[in-house]
Amino acid sequence: MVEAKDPGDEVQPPTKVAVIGGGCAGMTAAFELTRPELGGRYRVTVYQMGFRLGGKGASGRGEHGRVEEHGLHLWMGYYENAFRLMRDCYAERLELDPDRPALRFEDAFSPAHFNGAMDLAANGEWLPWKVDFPAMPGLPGDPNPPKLDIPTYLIHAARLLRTLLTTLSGVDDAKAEPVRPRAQPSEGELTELLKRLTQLGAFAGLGAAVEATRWLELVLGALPEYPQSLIARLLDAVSELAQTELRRLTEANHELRRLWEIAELILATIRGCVRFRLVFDPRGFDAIDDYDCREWLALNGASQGAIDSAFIRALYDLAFAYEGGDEKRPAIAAGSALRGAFRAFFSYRGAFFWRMNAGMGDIVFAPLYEVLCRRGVRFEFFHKLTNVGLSEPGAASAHVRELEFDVQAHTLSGGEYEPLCSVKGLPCWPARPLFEQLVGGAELEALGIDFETQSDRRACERKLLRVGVDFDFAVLSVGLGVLRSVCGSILERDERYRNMLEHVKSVPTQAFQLWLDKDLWELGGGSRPINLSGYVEPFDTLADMTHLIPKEDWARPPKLLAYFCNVLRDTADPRDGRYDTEEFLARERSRVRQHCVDFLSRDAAALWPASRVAGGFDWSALSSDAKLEGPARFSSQYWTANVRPSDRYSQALPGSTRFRISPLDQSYDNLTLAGDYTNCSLNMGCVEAAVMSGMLAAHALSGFPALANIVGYDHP
Amino acid sequence: MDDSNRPKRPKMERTEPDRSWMNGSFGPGASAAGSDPRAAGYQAINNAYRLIDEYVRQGQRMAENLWLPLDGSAGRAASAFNAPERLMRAMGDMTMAWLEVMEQFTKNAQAKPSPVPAGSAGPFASSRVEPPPAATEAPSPSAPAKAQPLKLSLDARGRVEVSFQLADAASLAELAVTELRSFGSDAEPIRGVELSGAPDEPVLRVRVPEGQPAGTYNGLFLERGSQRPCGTISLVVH
Ligand SMILES: Cc1cc2nc3c(=O)[nH]c(=O)nc-3n(C[C@H](O)[C@H](O)[C@H](O)COP(=O)(O)OP(=O)(O)OC[C@H]3O[C@@H](n4cnc5c(N)ncnc54)[C@H](O)[C@@H]3O)c2cc1C
Repeated sequence: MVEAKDPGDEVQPPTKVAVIGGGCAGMTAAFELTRPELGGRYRVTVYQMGFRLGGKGASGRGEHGRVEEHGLHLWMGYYENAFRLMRDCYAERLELDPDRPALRFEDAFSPAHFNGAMDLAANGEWLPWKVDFPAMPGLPGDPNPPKLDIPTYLIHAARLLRTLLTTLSGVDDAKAEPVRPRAQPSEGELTELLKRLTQLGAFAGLGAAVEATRWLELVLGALPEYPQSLIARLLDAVSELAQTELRRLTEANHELRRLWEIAELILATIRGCVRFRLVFDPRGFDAIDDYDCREWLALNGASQGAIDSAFIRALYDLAFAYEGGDEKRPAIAAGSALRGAFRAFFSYRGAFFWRMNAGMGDIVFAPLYEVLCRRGVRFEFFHKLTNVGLSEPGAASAHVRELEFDVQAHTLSGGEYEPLCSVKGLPCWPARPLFEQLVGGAELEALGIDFETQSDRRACERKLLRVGVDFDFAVLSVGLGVLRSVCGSILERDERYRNMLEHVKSVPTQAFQLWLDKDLWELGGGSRPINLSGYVEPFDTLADMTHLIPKEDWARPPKLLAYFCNVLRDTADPRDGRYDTEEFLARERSRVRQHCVDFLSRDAAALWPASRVAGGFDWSALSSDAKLEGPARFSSQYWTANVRPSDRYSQALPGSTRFRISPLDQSYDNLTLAGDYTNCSLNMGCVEAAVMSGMLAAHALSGFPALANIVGYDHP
Repeated sequence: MDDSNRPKRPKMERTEPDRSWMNGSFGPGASAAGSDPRAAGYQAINNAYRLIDEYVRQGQRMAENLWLPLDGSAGRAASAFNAPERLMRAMGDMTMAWLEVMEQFTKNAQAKPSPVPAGSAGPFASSRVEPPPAATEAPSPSAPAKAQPLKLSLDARGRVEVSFQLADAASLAELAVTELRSFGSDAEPIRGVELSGAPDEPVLRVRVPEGQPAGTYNGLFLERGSQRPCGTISLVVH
């Protein structure tokens, strides 16, 4: 048996690794396995269906070099692993090629501090609630990531609570009564405080609640030292006081109401962490993953108002947390959601959100592709995996014996397909295959084959890769939605895989992008670009991406670029792994188009009041070369129905965490899974989870990177 | 090809995140504590130890307040007023804590290969979803925990075993260590425990007095400023 060797050890020939699927997870695994420090021990080939890398993060350049995305992508300031990966990648690329434009990491991502949620007022009016998140020291991916654990989160939360209550009460915290305990209060002092608060009751007012939270901070700082019941009573006192006082105030004032809703949610979270003993639970936040987040908050005292608040809706929207894409079935595992929220709010560096300064394909996957090519990684595009063949049931050690592919196209040169194009000097992914490189390219183009479906089996070759000959190890990184169609023999034999596919679910999404000839100001949408969530269905999330226009290639540049995104009600039966027929895709695409047109006609006015004209939306504001009028003009814009198995977003539904399989799982001696649906500790459908999963997959095959170097893997 | 020559994945040091609070691991440099199931048990015991210790101190304070002349402080008077009720509550909390610790300790001692299913925590709840069936192949036994970069100087007559777990080696210079106590026995705590030496090469000195009764003695590493526990030390006197 060949064990991982020291980098200096040259005896063994390199181990051949097949990475199947070049999304965030697969590319991370390829990057880690070919780091120069590993001394070329792994020879990696990436097999990718169709013409581009990126998967759910793929983008393409369409007409006018415009960026066409799979959906809105923002990176969060706590994505320590993902940013580290990109920073290393950019540094390496810069070293290889110092003179090329826009190759610097600093140019690739920019902070987005201004964010918000759409809030429904009592009179039925939608009001944008805008928040400027403060810039925090450092950059994500810097050394020494924040060291956080649940008690530290709770202290942060209590501090935030105090700030909120201070704001609400109008009490100047700095000048408040100096009852402030200097050191950790004794239990006697706390009991005394509680007694005082109870006696004063409603008369104590918010000032007292603020004082109580100050104590709360200290208590949470030394959690194990206080009896749980005492902490619970303290929390109850704070919430009772604040609630009585605030109900009256918040009915009339939206700003106060929102602040109070947040305060309530924080209180419920702290109370829940204490009641559920999460600090001591070896499962960390996973311990409450059977609960839906809203359900768990309610269990811990959050009111219906707080649970339905814009803040919570934004959280669910950002995580596409609607079962079956049904807006009436919001669902997200409480622990995973809280872990994500705590990390997002209390451990971000630089900015809360980061925007990419071109398409995600161009910013992330083009540099990764280029650097990996330089390292000697081979890329086999137009290779669609159709089956993972296992060893015989009686084999000494279960393993993958063969991998079957449809080769969708051959290159004219007989060499590797060269997938990138250039827009204003930036290496980018085209929105369509570069047919001129393909054998029979014109015919393939005319056939209109969708190379990214599982159902279309038109192929120019069926290829079989054999273990020991063509590959030694396999990283299966094709995405959750695809597993069913390629893992038949594993599913037949392995109950855990069956359970994972049964319980860990995915959902289709929809997105559209508008290029407008009016700017934000002209549309009445204010003056600063913003990312908003929590708006109405069918499109609850939007981001201003006007900063991309200069990166596109317009003769007459539009003035505004806006992205909209949401889940899409599921109409497929995901148990049928190859439901994505041409007819199905066409139907879904026209359904999404109708959603876009309806949304613009009905709901755009709350965002851009001046887009409303007699008869609905001002269609003439849409930038278009074609002489189209009315809703027909929408055809010039970009929209997508992400319904193919590989497009489906991986959800974190309550009760599903325990069924996720880890990339570290040792059931098969030459296979590891990688993807945002695996048990990678973060367990959310996001770039950071996919990257962590890719790092774990690399660790599973090589022992590198060390688990301690995967930031947040051991996070509670 | 000959299957025995086929490259195979290396065996994993562990296949699960280590989320125990005392590990405090979050990012590079974090320790690999937790691969030893006993560590979690000691950890829990130490947490409970702190809780119990606190109750003992509170009990002493209450006793002082009830039977000794009051020093006039309002806080003390108030807590004395509530004493019987508080004592009852304290006892209740303590029992709960013990039950929890014992349960955890027995679980860890059995070192089950499959983890506690995620999601089932709650003040009252038990498992709400059937746990998944076991892995096709059981994971390999975990490797011993990594050594800490902390030197040990031991002064003892008889045979003793010392083990310790630290959350973060980087902050060694900021640490203090508590005395070591033995549960459920009247043995004197071991007080000769200290951290000394240069900040970049600290030494943990443990002096076990002659005649110290046999048993397991536990203590904590604390962060000097915050007094937050960040590691455990366990000493077995044979
Ligand atoms: C609309 C939308 C918006 C999102 N917004 C954000 C966001 O703002 N921030 C964030 O952090 N995350 C966001 N996400 C989530 C993020 O995009 C994903 O978590 C991440 O891209 C998943 O990466 P992955 O490698 O796990 O899977 P994938 O991206 O699905 O990668 C799988 C790869 O395998 C390939 N493949 C599939 N089938 C085959 C086959 N049969 N043979 C060969 N190759 C195959 C695919 O083409 C792809 O390259 C969003 C997701 C969606 C859908």
